[in-house]
Amino acid sequence: MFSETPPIAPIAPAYRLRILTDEQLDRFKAATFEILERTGVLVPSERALKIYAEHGADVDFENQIVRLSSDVILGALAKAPRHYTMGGRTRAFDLDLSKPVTYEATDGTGTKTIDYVTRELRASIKDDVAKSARVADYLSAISFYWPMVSAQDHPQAPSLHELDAAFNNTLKHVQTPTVVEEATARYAIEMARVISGTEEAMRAHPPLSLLICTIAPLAQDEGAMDAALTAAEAGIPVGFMAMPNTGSTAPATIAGTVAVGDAEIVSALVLIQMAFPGAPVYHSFMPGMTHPRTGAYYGHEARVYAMGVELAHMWGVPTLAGTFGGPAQSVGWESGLGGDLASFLSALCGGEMGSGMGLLDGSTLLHPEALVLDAELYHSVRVNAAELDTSADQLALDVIHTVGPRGHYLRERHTRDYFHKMEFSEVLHVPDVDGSYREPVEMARRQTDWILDNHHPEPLSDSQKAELTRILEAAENELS
Amino acid sequence: MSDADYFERLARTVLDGDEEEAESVAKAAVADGLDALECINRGLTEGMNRVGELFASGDYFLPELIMGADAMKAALAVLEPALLDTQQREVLGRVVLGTVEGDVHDIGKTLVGTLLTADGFEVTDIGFDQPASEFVAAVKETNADLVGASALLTTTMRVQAQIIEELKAAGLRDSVKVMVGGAPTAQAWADSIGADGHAVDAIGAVALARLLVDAPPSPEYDD
Repeated sequence: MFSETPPIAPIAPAYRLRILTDEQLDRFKAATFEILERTGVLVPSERALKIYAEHGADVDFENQIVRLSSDVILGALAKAPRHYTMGGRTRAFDLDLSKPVTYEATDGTGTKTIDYVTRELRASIKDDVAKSARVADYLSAISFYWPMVSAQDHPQAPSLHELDAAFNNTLKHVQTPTVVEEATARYAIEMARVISGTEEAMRAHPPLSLLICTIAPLAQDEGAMDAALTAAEAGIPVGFMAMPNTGSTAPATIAGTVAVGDAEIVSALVLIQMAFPGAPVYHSFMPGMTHPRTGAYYGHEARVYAMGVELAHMWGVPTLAGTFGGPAQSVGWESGLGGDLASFLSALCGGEMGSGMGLLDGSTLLHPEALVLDAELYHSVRVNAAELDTSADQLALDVIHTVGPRGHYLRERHTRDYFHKMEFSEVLHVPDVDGSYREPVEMARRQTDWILDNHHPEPLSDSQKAELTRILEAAENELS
Repeated sequence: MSDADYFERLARTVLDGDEEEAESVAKAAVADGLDALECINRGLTEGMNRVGELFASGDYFLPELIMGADAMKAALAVLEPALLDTQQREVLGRVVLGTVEGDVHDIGKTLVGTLLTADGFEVTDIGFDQPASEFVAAVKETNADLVGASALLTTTMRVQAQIIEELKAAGLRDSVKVMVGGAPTAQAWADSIGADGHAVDAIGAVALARLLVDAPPSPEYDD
């Protein structure tokens, strides 16, 4: 027996905001043009260099530097689709990026886990991915799933084992940031094809997408770019995430950081469109701040991540915004800081996707309660962004007249009915027997335990499971 | 219609919080010659118990508790006059309830009264803005077991202490328990003025009232 996966609840903002003016966006666009035309990016991939060269780029093969004119950039990006659909295992979990909503995902890919049962801190394993995928599958806040931690108990092909655990434990779209070699990408695509059933179905509703990190400043990774090209050829959406660190791998200014990061992303987006015009791509700007004393990185203020949404739309592609995640090492005041604001601003700016829920310690630590706690913050954002219903029944004038001055509304049918229509948290404001409220972290723990005990999403068919296992075995043979 | 059908219908009116239907079914039961005490115990009380269970499980909210209690009250108004001379509805205790002088906040107090009534207490609600002397007079008049004094302001909570002092002066303090409540109050405040207990909300007040009259805990309101 399996349990139904609850419907996803994306953020549907009823109002919008702009952080950057048209003039500021023009300055950033001009900066990206200037950086890519004058300094260029380092691309240590023969395959990529040839594609760039064949499509009008100025390629210095000896030094692996690619320079792009504004005409070449605009010509390539004009072919990128502004909207497309990312598939779930069933159509109910498809993410239609043309809708005016924001879909959000878990964080990934950490390396440490506080065990769900023993509470022991240890290296992450494949079973952690499976368990976290089941929790994510149940939570309506999670529209798509990033493997949250690394399957370190499968060192031959950890990223493919992470996908195996994810596909087996959630019906939601899976996005991976750890498929970063061409060979691994081929196997990941094979796995996606198994989930979809056919090549056509996979292209129409790809159940997998890749996120490829660029290297700051102004470089691409050989294996990752080859993986990106392989995925794009198969119709798998590919996003490029720039993570420049203000003060170390980017200038010590926000604008300078934006300029470096955007140039990296655009150079990669251009490559994909040159090779496979019309391939689904997305832009993701997730910079960090360099601590001036330790050199370690930590998150920027929330608006910086929402700016990435406006940059992506300026280039005519969807975005993946950085929303949650932070340096807190345990759940508490710090772990709740900022993620909701970044999520709120990104949604109001029209972001299509966001990710970052559920990890601590700079996106390295899977903590049992963190995902449920972040999901609570997410729902607060969703409700705050949603349209307010001012229909006659909501205005309740009849009830107001009936109760009159100095009465109360607790004995009105209208109150009874609407209390049952309202959303009440299972984590916040849960009454205790003495009239106080229960500790939210304790309630999150209880909800997490309940999900793990009770929620078992619809399994893959036996033949699909067998196929995934066969692919894993083949991959391990090749990759070892 | 069988007796069992009547009891179930009465219970259902409480579950649905339907005052008019509760009164109507009660009248029909009396007209059909049913035992009024059985109608109360096997119909209304059973219905209220089920409301309490649904509240405890999280399926019902405060409106269902209040509307259920209102339906029960409407049916009791029909059934209690029909009790035989030898019959008496079981009452857990008599409570005088009010909001203290200078304070007009009475929703919380009224909610406490509704839930105490539904739980089997006989409640005399003296209203809001009531001086200590009115609490004492009501205790004398009703031979109350409990006094509940509500205060929502830091400036009016001192009247709760006055009530205790005036109960002492009237020689009633040993025969009546005093419970206090309201946003600014706390157990420490209750202890400092010599009250017998403090509750933070209506559900807590019912549990406290049961404790103070040595009644077993109400299972519906326990987590």
